[in-house]
Amino acid sequence: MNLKELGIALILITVLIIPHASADWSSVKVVNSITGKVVYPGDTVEFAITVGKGYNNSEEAWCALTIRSIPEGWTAGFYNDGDQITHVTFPKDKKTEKEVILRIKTPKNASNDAYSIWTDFKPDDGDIILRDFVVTIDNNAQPNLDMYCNIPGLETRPNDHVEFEVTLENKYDHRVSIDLNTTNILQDWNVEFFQVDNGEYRVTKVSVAANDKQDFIVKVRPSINASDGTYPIIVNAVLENSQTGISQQLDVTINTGIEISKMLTLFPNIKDITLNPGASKEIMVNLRNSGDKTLNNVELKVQDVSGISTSIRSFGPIDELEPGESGRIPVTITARADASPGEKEILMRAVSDEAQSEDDCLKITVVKSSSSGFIGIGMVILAVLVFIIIIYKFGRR
Amino acid sequence: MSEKKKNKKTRTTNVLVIAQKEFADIIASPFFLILTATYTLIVFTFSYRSVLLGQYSGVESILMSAFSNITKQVGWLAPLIGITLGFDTVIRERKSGSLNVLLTHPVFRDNIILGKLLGITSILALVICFSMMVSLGTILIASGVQVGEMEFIRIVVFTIITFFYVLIFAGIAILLSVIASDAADSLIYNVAIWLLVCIVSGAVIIAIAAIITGQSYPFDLASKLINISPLHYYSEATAGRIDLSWGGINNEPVNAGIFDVRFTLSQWFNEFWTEVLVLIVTPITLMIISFMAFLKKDITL
Repeated sequence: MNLKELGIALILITVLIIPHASADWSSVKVVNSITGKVVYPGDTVEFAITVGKGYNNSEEAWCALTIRSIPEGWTAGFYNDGDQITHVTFPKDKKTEKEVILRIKTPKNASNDAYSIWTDFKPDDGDIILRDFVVTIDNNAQPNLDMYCNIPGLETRPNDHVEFEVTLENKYDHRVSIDLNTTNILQDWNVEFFQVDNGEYRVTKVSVAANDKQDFIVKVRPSINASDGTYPIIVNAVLENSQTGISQQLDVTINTGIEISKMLTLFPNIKDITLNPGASKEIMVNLRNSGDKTLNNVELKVQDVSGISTSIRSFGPIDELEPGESGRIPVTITARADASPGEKEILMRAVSDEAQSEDDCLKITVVKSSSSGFIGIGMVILAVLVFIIIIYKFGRR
Repeated sequence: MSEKKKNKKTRTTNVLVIAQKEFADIIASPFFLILTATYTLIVFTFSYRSVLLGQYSGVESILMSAFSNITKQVGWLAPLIGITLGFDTVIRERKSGSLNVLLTHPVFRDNIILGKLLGITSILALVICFSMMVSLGTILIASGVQVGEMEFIRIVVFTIITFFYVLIFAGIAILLSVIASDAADSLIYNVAIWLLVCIVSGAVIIAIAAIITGQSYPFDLASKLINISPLHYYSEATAGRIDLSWGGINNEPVNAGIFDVRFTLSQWFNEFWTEVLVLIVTPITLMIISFMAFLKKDITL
């Protein structure tokens, strides 16, 4: 055999062998950088995997994704855009890649150890690509959360509420649901969580996207009997269906000496009126929002006093009072006919959902009409006199 | 002075003398004082109670509201004064024989009946005015409630309306006194009329209307039939209501009568002038009938 024939034979042998000798050749490729993580029992852990077309770009390619082996009691699956997937397909003539998430749910009772999860990526053409992911269970692992408040200490008066804006950060690479609660609450104190956008809805749980933040309001109303001092409020953020969580301490300082925030004020146009029994007088009471936020459901409350009846002539509370805005409410004060003479005081107060005013006093002096007394006496005397005169003049037989 | 004028003067004098005699007879009676005191007490008690309790009956003034609350009691009980004064005014004189003696003097029958009518009317006016003034004065002294000119005028108008209303029953009593043969009979007839008119008129009329129409609450027919009752006109003028009798027809008035300060006196008069007219004309009519009946009556024993 001459050299030429030998060379052709060698070439043919090489061409036939090389494709079979190359065990990694595949229509798809699988790339992932992180293959192991440490988690708390019960956590869900995710691994990001990039699946793309292999060397053959002109043909359509697909790949089946399976879990080859997983510890007992664990669950895992492949996800893309929130959907669980079993295959990925790549169109022909295009070199594309897809982000696939391997999501592994660890059992709550998993003991501390390193666990392997084997996955298969079976392309339509080529060898199966095997990948191993290691999940290490550690009871002492810290949850990947962070909670902080830019202003964790506020000062107020008893029964005046304060609000803390707290931020909860999810450092996991998957969405988590977190329960909110408080501990270390004293008697007659009230702590509630509210949404930041509108303070109407109370919050008990938040869901935070991967590597995202969520703000919420912690509203603390101290007891009316709270004495001066600093009171810690512990806010806990606990992973759903878990006991793992983080805490943030908020300090509320009670100071009875600080001035009342005069958000809501009232001004009656008359502070001193004199009435006869049975008489009435109408006064106008001006309610003003002196604060810097809108007050809702503003209404006037008037104390009941013996002998005096009051009638607030309005169509119910004022729905909203903007900062600087005033509302006028007519009030009819009537002294009952049986009211004893003398001075009486009526206390009035403006209340709203957010604040209430200081009490204002209206003095009412009930004076029995002297003219009525004289008229009454005169009438009785006149009637008796006329009666007697008529009887004397015409009543004799 | 001409003969005619002289006779006229004599007649007038006779009427006045008889009126004065009638007046004196009633005044001297202790029964009259009891009657006056009782009626005064009724008016004062109910009105003062309303003032104390602050019972506002749809009108804003407390004093007006207090008197508004007594229209029912006055409507029921005041006619008894008229009945008491007139039920035996003629019969008593006839039975005692003094009427015959009187007629032997140059006194005509018309003088006698006119004198009696005048005497009773005077007594009635005295009793009603006295009780109203004493009640009002005592309320003013006790409560110190201020009374304005408008309120005073309304109370005066109410007093006048009450006077004419009671005068109707006095006229009925005098008429029955002329017609009846016995004082007891006259009293019974008067009491029966009083019960029928003041107490149960509404209930009776509703029953009659229900029988006629077959409806359970025949408001339309009943409100027409009630027009025969003097109480209807009194309640309209003073309280704006169709009826004040027991179990009578109910309505929610727009104008609550003389004490409703939301309407002026002119507005009140525009609405209720027919009722006032009926109250004035009816006793006059009854007295005319009594007059004519007495003139024709055989008064021999």
